[in-house]
Amino acid sequence: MPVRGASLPYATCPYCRTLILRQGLNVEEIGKVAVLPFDVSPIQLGTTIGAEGRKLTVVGRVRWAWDGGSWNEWLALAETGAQFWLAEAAGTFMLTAEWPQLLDRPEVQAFANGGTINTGDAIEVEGRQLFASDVKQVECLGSEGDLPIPTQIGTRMTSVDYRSASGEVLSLQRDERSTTAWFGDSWDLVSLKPGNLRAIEGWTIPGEMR
Amino acid sequence: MTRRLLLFAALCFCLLAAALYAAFNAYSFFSDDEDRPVASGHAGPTHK
Amino acid sequence: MTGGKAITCPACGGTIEVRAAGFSVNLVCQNCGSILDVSRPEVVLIRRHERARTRFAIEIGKRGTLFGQEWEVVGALRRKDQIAIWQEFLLFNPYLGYRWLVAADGEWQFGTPLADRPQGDRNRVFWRSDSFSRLGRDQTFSTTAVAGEFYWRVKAGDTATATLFQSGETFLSREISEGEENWTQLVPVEQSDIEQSFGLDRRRLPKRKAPSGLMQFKAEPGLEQDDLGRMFLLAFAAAILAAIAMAVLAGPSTRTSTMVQVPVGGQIAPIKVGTITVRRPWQFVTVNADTNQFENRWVDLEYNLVDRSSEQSIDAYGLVEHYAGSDSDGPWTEGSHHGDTMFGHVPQGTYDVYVSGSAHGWPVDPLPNDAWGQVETINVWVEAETGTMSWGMWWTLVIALFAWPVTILWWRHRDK
Repeated sequence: MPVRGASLPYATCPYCRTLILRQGLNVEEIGKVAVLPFDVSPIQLGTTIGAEGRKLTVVGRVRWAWDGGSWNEWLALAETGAQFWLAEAAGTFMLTAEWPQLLDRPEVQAFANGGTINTGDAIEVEGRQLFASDVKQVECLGSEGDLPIPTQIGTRMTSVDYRSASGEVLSLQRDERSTTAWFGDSWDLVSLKPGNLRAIEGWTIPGEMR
Repeated sequence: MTRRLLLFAALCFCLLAAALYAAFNAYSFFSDDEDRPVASGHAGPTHK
Repeated sequence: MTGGKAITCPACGGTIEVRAAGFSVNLVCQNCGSILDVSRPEVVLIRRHERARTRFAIEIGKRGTLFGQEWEVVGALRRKDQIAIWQEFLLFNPYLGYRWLVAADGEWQFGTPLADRPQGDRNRVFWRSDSFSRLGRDQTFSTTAVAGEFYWRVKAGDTATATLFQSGETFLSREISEGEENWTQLVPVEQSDIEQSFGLDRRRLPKRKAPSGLMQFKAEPGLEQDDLGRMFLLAFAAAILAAIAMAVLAGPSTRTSTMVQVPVGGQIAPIKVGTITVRRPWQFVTVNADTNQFENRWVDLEYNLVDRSSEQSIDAYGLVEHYAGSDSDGPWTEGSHHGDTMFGHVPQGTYDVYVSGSAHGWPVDPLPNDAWGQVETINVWVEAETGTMSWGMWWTLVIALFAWPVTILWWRHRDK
């Protein structure tokens, strides 16, 4: 079984759809992962991202669904091991890095303790004013590759998206174990300077992305 | 040239034609013949 | 052909291709028109329909190149507001995301959804260092027909409110629907480019909804801005033209005048003012009465135009009145020492003009003012004139001419 991110505890076996937890030398079976539905995402495991001088490699994916649709969250690792989520939505991308200092904010703490956030609620991050645009209950539709979180069938979490006028995004994710905060920007695929994109049958990868 | 500008031009033309027809026949909404404005004895200031 | 995936319609059992698999949320079955949820592995029927699909100017699934990039038409919407019906096409490329093609009134626009929101106020917004000014008022539109697939939940009857901002040929459109605000940048595309790239079914191009009543004067998005100046110019030109033509049609002028003395509290029998001639088939005749200064008196005047050949008389009445007094607000005056009377539609002929009348005091006739019983009189200079024009008619025309442009100006002002 290929391991792309040795630092990541969870891996999905591509053959038997088993979710595996690695702890040191121990390997533990956690449960079954649903088969990822077919999609025409241009990202695949092994895709690289070169935006802003970074060198990120996609090592895993979770597909989440809510009552308004479903989307991919790709996990990208820097060479330092830093984790980024690349969220795909309607052809645009949100690239976010973990922002643990936000968890000290009272409103974020209240959310982590089970409180609710309403759309329109404001938060200031890095001098930018962001507003909650989506508050949704999401459910895992499947996963592949290496991941920092378990994704077996039935995994659920609460996801809150904040946006600023200039395109910055903040994502708060709460599952039964913990709450994490992720902050970053909106991108289109070209400006992410991608490499090793997935070849989709019937389509040509635009020149500037090859 | 917008559609409503054309419609407006047509309206202007109709109004002009009507005004000239009235002028030719010396018709006016404001002529005083045949209508006695104030019957004798009913004049006086309307000042309150 | 494409990298899509095939699903089976739970309503009709037909096979449908999902072109933007993984992105599309709702899909309209091309066989039966039912709306399906395709966001999850299991296809869910949202609304069952049993009808032929709606046809659009571009067929779903058509591929074409615009601005050097390849696009596939994956969705189509028919929308309408109070003024127009138009079509919108959702374009998809898995590497580039979504774009729009909007076809309205023979014009095509290419739309790019914006990730960064323009900032500004109600009338002006800034986006990437350009300033855009609002065009027209907010329009509420609804979706009347859908085909293909969409990355959001669609249904016929969805409504949203759109506002357009313009900078040169570029528009920014803000659509607000169920609290969600979306901005799209729109740039013009030639219809011939669309036809070449995607092929067009010209019979399916949106036809302008015939505006009814006031609406056809009210607004045409994108065009209303530049025709108001022309409307004012047109109205102004018509008003000038009318004044000249009315003066010419008033015809040759003849006049006659005299002075009569009317006793206050008494009356005078008809006195001949003079003779005037109406030379055109029909003319106006005006009679002007001017009096000496007086207060709290009124003079009723009766004019008779007696046709010399037929001895028929045309009658009209004039009134000159002037009052003065004072109350808690101070002194006041009312009335004038002048009175105009107009005869309309006077036929060609020679007329003798007679004046008769009476004068009275307010509130009561005055008593004779000296021992000899001398009665107060009012001097009235009467002048009759042919060949005058009716300024009242001209002002009526001016009001009618300027009513529309002024109303539009008011609408626009009210919107701001």
